[in-house]
Amino acid sequence: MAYSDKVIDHYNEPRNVGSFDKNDDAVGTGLVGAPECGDVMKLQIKVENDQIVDAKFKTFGCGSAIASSSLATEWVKGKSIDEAMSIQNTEIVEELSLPPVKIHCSVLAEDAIKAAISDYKSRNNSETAEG
Amino acid sequence: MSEVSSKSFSCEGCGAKLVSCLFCFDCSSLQSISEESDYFSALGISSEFDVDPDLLEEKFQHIASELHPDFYLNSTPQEKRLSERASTLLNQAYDTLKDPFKRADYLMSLKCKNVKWNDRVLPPTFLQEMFTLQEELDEMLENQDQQGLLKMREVLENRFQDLESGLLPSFRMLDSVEEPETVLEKLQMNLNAERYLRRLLDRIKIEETT
Repeated sequence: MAYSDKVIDHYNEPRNVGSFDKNDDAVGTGLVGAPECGDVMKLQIKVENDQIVDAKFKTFGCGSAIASSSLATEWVKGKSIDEAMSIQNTEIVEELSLPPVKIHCSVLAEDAIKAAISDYKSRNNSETAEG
Repeated sequence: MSEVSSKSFSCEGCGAKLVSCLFCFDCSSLQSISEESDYFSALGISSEFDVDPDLLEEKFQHIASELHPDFYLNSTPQEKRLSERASTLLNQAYDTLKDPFKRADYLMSLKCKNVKWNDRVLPPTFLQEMFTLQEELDEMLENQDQQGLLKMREVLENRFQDLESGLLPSFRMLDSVEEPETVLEKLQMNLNAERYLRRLLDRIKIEETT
């Protein structure tokens, strides 16, 4: 299967690889997995005044999973929490030209963003906290 | 639970009872492939988890030798195509059934077609553990820590064994319960965990061969 140029670009030069201290209250951590293939993805956001000021990820998985999470960190940076919450996996599919068998990688990245936001909210007891 | 092991096939030509749903050994004729032609029927073994690997291998070789497209070079186009399709199906059947985890996955979907269960279930804290193991593995690979790699490989292989040995008792239970969802989720949890462990093990094996 051929990867698109954008997937290859993110795979060769992933943006924002690394991690923040998950116990920092300004940090939200999302850890998600795809049991159908064994991928595991960690995405973290750093929040100031409801704005995502920085993001990091680390993904153990295929090229598409790495590219999806790399792109997700680029997209959430500078967005408000609510804006980031509305990022859809279909936008990632479109941007990276993912084939149907790799759509679950983009779903994973969307889930990771939502899990990170949810973690941030729950540790900050925000009124709109989920879970 | 519904029993599927009692499925039996008769030859479309001579009516003899078939060993494999793909071929009649009595009148040497290919059989048409239908929705009923599942992997177990293709290999002529009963649809249960407990499979004798030697018997499986023997059946596969025996049936494959009759289906091979090379024997149908002078046959009608329909027969040629059928032998190709039958050979492909038989190969898929063999690849699936010889691996205990793939066999379990297949048998679950075969037995419980109309049952819904959570197919993403994982043991609690499993994901965090897998992430940590992957990071540890990164470090070992970077430092060429051969001892660490060997040790991790051993630990992973033991966990594989544990997962695998949990499958047969669960399938026995599946046959005896009215509500299969809980047992199916337990099986699914083993299958999902296996994929994560295999990812780790594959990384170690790639390192060993390079």
